[in-house]
Amino acid sequence: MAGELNKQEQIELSKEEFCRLIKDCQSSMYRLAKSILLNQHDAEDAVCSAICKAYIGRNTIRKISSFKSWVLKIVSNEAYTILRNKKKVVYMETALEDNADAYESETPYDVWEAVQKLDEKYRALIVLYYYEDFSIKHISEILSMPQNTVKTRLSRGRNKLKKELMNQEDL
Amino acid sequence: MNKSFDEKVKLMISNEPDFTPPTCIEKIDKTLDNLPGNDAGLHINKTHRPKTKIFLVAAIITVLMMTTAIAAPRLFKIGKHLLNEFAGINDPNLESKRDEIEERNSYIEYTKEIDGVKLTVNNIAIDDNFIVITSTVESKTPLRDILLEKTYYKDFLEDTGLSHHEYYFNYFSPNFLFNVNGDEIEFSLSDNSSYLKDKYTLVSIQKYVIGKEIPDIFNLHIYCAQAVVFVNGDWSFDISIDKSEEKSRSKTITPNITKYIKSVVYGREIEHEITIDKVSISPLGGKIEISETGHDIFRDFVLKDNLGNYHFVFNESVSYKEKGDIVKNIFEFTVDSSEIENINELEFIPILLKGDFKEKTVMLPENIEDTDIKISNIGGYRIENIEFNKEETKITLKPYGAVLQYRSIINGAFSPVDKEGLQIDVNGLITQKYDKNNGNLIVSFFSAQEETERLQSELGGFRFVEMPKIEINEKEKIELNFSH
Repeated sequence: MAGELNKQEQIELSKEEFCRLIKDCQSSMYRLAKSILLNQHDAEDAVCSAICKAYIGRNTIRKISSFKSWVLKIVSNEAYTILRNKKKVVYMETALEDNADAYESETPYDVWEAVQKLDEKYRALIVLYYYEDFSIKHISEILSMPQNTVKTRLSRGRNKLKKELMNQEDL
Repeated sequence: MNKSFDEKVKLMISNEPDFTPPTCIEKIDKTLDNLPGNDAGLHINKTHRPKTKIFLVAAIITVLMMTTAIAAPRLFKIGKHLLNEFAGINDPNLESKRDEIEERNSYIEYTKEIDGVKLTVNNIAIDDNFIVITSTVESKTPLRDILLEKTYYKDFLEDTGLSHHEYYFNYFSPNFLFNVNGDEIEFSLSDNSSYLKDKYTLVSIQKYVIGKEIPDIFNLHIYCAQAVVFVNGDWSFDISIDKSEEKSRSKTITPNITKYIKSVVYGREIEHEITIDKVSISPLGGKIEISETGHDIFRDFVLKDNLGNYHFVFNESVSYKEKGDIVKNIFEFTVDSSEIENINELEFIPILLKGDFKEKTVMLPENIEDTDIKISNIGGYRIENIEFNKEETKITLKPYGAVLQYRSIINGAFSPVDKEGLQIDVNGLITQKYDKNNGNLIVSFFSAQEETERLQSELGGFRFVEMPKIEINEKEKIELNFSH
């Protein structure tokens, strides 16, 4: 009985629908991966690898509305895997350009710049909270972290973000 | 107050344009285009229930295996064994500790095979501070082909001009997690190196910092939370280990000293209340555990022993645990295993970073060993060797005095210059490795053969970052005595 119910709740995503959903959240995927890895190439690898994994498991999703948090969880897993494997390697251009992003910095990226200065443990969480508007419960699911840890880190991360932004004299 | 801050931040974010780089969008589009219409060509992790018959067979096999395990439990005793897997490792982090690893390990040779992919835990080495796992991953498809097809290895090779890069194969190294006597214990990955034994077989050696005291005889459950070569499944192993004979050469103290220590970072003075919980030196390395409240990690310190030697502290890579407001940071440091008996004391010396950093150039003298990369008045590096291989330029730097790893010449500041002192742009990547006995830093520039040859002919010196106003904080140093 329960099996039947689950079957009814599962959705079948065609390649076209899957691609559309990915395109809708590609910026969020890149932002999360970049916040973890601080390196454009690695972030791109994490995103593309996550897309392949998500495609394989696309028919395990229950609701379209949870697609974004589901795919971001895969992105975060991929990014942390890359981080663990490659933490002692620096791309030459990354090193020489001092972590410069690909965008032209005429535009205001004050929050993003401040986020990148935070410790690793706060960055992804702050991005999910402020940029993606996820609740503590959702963040705890995406980052596989207890809700209490999310709350504590969010509070500490918020204070650190505040300090960074104040150093920029933006607040 | 938080609400107004949150609202303000969200408002600022709404003014930030999307910064996803066009190259990333192109790669996403390419990935999406290449997805098959159905799942052909991609491994599918089937989640449907197995048929009853198969389930029963599986259950019978499991019961038989459990019976076998109960009938003949095997305890792996740690002892001296040679590790042939080191033959292909090109990584000073691990090679420098080869003798110590071979001195204390056990052959395990437990294998699991799922959907044509085989994972074997070949060997486990352990002392009080570190555990080293040697494993083999075998696939029926050449691993390079899988990398080329399913990752951006191909683009990486095109971008860098390299014909092969071993480090990229770490992608297939298993990501092990650990459970000791039923408790989840975080062992932080310290070193990871792998190489292709043949087209289908990857050998990995991974060293992890042990974050918690573990008993001499224990049950170790090793498992991978991630897929192995894109295959999901129960990649877990249960192994019983006896390391009781491994304590003889380790020295451990639990000083539990709490002190206020000052640090200065970019002109900002911060006071830390730190507690040194544990310091341990063992053949595989050293670790110091420091607890503190607050949000700024204290890591501006060096360690000096009673023989006058500095132990290189890996201040950049810290593993941490949280308990309420207290954060425990574990720092690894180098230990020359032949000196353990003579080390009776370590001085924990805080470092103060005052003033600005300056970019500086040092030219290579006739005798390259005379090259002094003077970071400050209290320490720096001397070049010990420069080696040009086919696609790698390897520079060995010997630290002297007090140097901080994470505010050192690494962090991207170290780059080659030509004979006129102008920066040489080399397309490729840099790695930093360490000799974990003597703290030597090995910087490698990986680039295509012609780029490496150009670097060899043009190299005149190096650019680095000098920190002229770095000082030893003598007043706040802490003595850590192993005889107490």
